[in-house]
Amino acid sequence: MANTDFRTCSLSGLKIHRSSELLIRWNLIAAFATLAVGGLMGLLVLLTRWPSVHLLPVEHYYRFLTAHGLDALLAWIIFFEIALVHFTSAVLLGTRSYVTWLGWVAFALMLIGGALINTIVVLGRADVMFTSYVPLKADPLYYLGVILFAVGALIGFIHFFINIVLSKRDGGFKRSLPLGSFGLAAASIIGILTLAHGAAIFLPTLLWSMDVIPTIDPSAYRLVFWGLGHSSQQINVCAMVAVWYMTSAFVVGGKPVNEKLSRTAFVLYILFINLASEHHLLVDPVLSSWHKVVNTSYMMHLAVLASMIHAFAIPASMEVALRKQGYTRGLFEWLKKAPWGNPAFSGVIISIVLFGFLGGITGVIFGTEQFAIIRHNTFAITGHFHGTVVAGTTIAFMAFTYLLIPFIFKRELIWKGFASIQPWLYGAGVATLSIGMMSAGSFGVPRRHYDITFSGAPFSFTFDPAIDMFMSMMGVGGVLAAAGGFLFILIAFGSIIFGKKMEQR
Amino acid sequence: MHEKREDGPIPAGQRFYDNIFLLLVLGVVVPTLIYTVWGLVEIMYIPRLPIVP
Amino acid sequence: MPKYDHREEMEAPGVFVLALIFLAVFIVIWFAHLKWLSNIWGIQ
Repeated sequence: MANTDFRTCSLSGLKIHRSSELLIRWNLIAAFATLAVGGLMGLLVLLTRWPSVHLLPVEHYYRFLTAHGLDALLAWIIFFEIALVHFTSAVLLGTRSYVTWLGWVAFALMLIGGALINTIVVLGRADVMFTSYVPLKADPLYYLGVILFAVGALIGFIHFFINIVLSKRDGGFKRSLPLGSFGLAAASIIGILTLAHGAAIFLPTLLWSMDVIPTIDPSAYRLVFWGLGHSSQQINVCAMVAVWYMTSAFVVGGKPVNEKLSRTAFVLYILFINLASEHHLLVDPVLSSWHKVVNTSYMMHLAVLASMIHAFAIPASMEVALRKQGYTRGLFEWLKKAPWGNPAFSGVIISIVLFGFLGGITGVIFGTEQFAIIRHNTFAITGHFHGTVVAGTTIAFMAFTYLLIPFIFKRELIWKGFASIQPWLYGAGVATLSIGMMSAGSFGVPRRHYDITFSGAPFSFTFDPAIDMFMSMMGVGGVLAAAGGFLFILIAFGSIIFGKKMEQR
Repeated sequence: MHEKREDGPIPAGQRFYDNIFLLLVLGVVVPTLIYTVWGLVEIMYIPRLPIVP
Repeated sequence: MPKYDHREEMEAPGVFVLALIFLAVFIVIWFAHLKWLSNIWGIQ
């Protein structure tokens, strides 16, 4: 009798368990929805920071900035990562989703937490920014929302490990996990560290907001918060790199050129990349130079070594695979004949290049004490993390979506022509935005600041007129990126709802 | 060509990387000690300002 | 008997050359941006 719990994807050959498929689908739908909200908030905030437009009134700027940070940085990405968790711990291994109800508990908690956060923020009861630094105090329901979301995500990452253990028992893999799953294992490990720190800081802060605890030390808050805050970005790095490897495999048949090296790089991420949380504290007077130097210079450079390994390993895997397909003429025939029209492929290449040059490098630079002092709280920081999280992780996730829609939703993409250009449009927009922000930050333009003309202030200050060009660059880039993002949302939801159904066995 | 070797002892490095739970423990303990615990100890040792009446 | 050549053929020469090109471009951009920054920040 045929086992109807599984189906085989006619495109990828993957054996897909129906429960797993449902979990992936709904986490993706939630991810796209929060990206849409976060992106809209970002556009409104952008049009406010663009001095020529200065759209929002002051309270709404900080409010929508808070929402933008939470939806775009936390919710969109973590929903997508939980979808990847299910993909790599069940679909990639060809085994079932175990303890499926746990996956739905996690999803429900994340959904409720996310909805609560957004509601409280929009109601104006949590104008505290994504960082919610004490002594800024939000409504207790805000902290509760974050805790619910974080607990949901934690359960999601724990579910990964349950799936892996039981998959091995059932023959999903013999000795070593496939590299894509190994990358998500690294992400899940960092996820557990991240969310443990989140619990450690948000539970006391919730009690403080309810006046149960009298005070929370701000420097201790910052230390532990960034154990949550930056480590969550390292989850993104691992997941993004795993997506790069998997896309290379799915689109061109790329295999890792050296498994040992690629896995070593992921292990370096696990052990050392979390310590980059320190770079948020470089300007704080409380910590010793030893703590700062060890946790940024020494440890971070081990993690950067890991990024360098991946940066070469993945394009090399693509070249080897394309050469095997016969494109061996000269040095670059493989590159010219690569499937550039496939948005999954082009998106990953764009993600690798932009993450490497814009995001990653600036992160290492700004993470050294001498540069941190100059860059701290300037717009350059914002430029950096839009280079990593947006140009890197978000574009990679968008690229992988173009594979997940046929594999998991069993739908063909709509508007294939637009889909081909979407990564380029979005990538060009974000790159321009990021460079504009970083350049403006070099002149001292602050981040999280409503009005850099200081209109109505008792003192006057004018920045170097060069910043006008860079702020406009940011504006133009941001609008292009918003257009590219909006296009992605339309294609994603449009394909899920209206895309031609694909016949599957 | 890279051939899969089904026989022979598994290298220690591969056995280490295959032990996901060991990696989990290390990945939580190492950063928590070097970053969080060390940092909190430093913060605790900062002398408090005396409250002048 | 001729000596067995243990050297393997480079599997990804294109990426190797691309890496060198990117490195050269990066070094140029890096030093140009340092010069620009030192002008803004008034470093002698």
